[in-house]
Amino acid sequence: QKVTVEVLDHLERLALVDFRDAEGVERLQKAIQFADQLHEVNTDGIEPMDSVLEDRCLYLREDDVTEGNCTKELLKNAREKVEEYFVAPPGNIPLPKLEERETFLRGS
Amino acid sequence: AALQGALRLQVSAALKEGQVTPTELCQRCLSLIKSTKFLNAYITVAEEAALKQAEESEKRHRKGQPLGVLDGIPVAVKDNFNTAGIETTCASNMLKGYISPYNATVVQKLLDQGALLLGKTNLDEFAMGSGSTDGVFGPVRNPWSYSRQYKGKSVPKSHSEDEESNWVITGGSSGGSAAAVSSFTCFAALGSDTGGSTRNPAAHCGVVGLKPTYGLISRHGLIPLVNSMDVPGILTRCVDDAAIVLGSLAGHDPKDSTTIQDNFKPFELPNLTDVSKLSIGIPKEYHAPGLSSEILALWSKAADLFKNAGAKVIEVSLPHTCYSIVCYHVLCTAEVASNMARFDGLEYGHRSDMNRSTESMYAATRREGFNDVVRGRILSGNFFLLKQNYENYFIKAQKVRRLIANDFVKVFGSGVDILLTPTTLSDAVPYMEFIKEDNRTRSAQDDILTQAANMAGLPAITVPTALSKRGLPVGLQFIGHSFQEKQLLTVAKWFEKQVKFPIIQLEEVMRHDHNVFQHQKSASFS
Repeated sequence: QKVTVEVLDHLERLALVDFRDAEGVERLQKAIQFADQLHEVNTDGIEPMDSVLEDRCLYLREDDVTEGNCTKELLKNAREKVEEYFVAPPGNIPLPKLEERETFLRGS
Repeated sequence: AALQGALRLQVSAALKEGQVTPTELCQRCLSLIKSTKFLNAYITVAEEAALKQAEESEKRHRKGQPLGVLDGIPVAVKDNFNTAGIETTCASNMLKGYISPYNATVVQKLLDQGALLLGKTNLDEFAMGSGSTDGVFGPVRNPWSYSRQYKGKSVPKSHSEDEESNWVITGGSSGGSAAAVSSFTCFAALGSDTGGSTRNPAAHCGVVGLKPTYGLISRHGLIPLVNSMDVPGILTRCVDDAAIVLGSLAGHDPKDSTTIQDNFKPFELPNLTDVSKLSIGIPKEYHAPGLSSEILALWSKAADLFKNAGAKVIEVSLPHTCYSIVCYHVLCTAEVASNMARFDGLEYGHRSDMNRSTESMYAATRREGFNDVVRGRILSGNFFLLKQNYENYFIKAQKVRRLIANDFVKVFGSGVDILLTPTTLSDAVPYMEFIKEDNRTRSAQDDILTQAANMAGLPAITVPTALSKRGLPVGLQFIGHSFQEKQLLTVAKWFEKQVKFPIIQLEEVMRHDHNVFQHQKSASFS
């Protein structure tokens, strides 16, 4: 069961990572094939496991501010900034559609 | 002898008595790092900082007030742990030039004990891989490739390519850390272990690799791969040293809510002489396809060793072992897809020049910053998390995870104290051979013996056992009960004493830096 171009396009948008070439797509196909082996296992009546520490209570601390005030430190690592803001390019602009963006999938 | 094979405990004693100073020790290690540069074990060497730390340690020692056993001891840290003021790259273009504003908790703990941080070690990009070959700074070379014991070398003509191309991999993804410890450039190193990333290279490099119980050691500051399985790993040259490092790192961290709140008491390992009360389990499924006959024989010999010493050795079954790799594959890629989402170029790391829109900037940044392996896992992970696949893949994998964890519960509940298994399928392969298969295939093959312990969150340790026919290290693995590191390490130490694994004879280094070894021969510490 091959993955359709629609799904591949959807994945590129969700992940904001591109397949790059045929090898990338093939890699996904193989990954799915590999994962399909899971269906051989009978898991009737089995609850999914999130964490091996599920029988314990997660630690919660008091809602007190104990550290912070390190704006300068944090901004040091950002490339684009203005005063105390991280600067991003304009938002609310969706990634171009498959036919309009530079992606290997365009030819498919 | 200071660097070669000496127990760190002995070095600590030497430092205390002034037989060697922290600065001398530091300088020797730094010099050795330089002369073993061809191993490519280190990404960043923090020479100035380390020497400064050495100076501070020296002051304390002169006053007779060392902070503890680790005071003045040179250590190295895998480059996926945040280190304040020192570049942290995860061997990726995405974080090249990233200088962290804080220390990971485990790094801070080491520094608080006076350890000298020599530098950051090389790894597979974002710890994804089992060879330490897929980072942007190039592959790490196994120091044993340059040992007198390695029989895979061709006759050396000069520094010809022949010799160069036969070098073997370290295994991964903590290969840099393993190589660093193995080549004596530091006394202990931190790695990380999600599917075997500390144990695999430890076995291939002939050092001790400890994966602690999930929840024992803080992950705060360890750049996450799989939040529900990652643990910091410890690499040392002997089991006692691993116990000491564990003692300084374990315990609840308010900054990592997945660390358990139980009080942790550091322990010294007893010298076990009577193993008759031990029950050792040999899981038959670990006789995995592809397991070399050599390692199978060693495993059998080890089982006999315990039996002849009076321990109860029984065959047990962990029926879902063969599914742990598939399960890991789905859960890992799913968590990776989520964890890698933070890399968007805005707050830190690489940022693309593309600025038409936020989305296109993110996409370009991630296209430029991640290698094929990382991108591949992100895309696979997103596939398994799609609404139409969530139940069939992600939830399914979580159910299989419970089955795998339950297998261990059953076996340990039936009276077995420790499981004995091989760590790797074979000894280290030559780099040229390793790269013929792709990363995912390799990982799937190589993680088979180590992954289930991560699935179940159990502690596991690999102990160097013997040299293979090719003269390369082979390790065996012990898996213990949750949070029973003391018992696990006690048994491992007993085993280590029985097998007397040989010391690596690094001839390349001897050729390059005669001085370092000359000095060592005169100083005696044992």
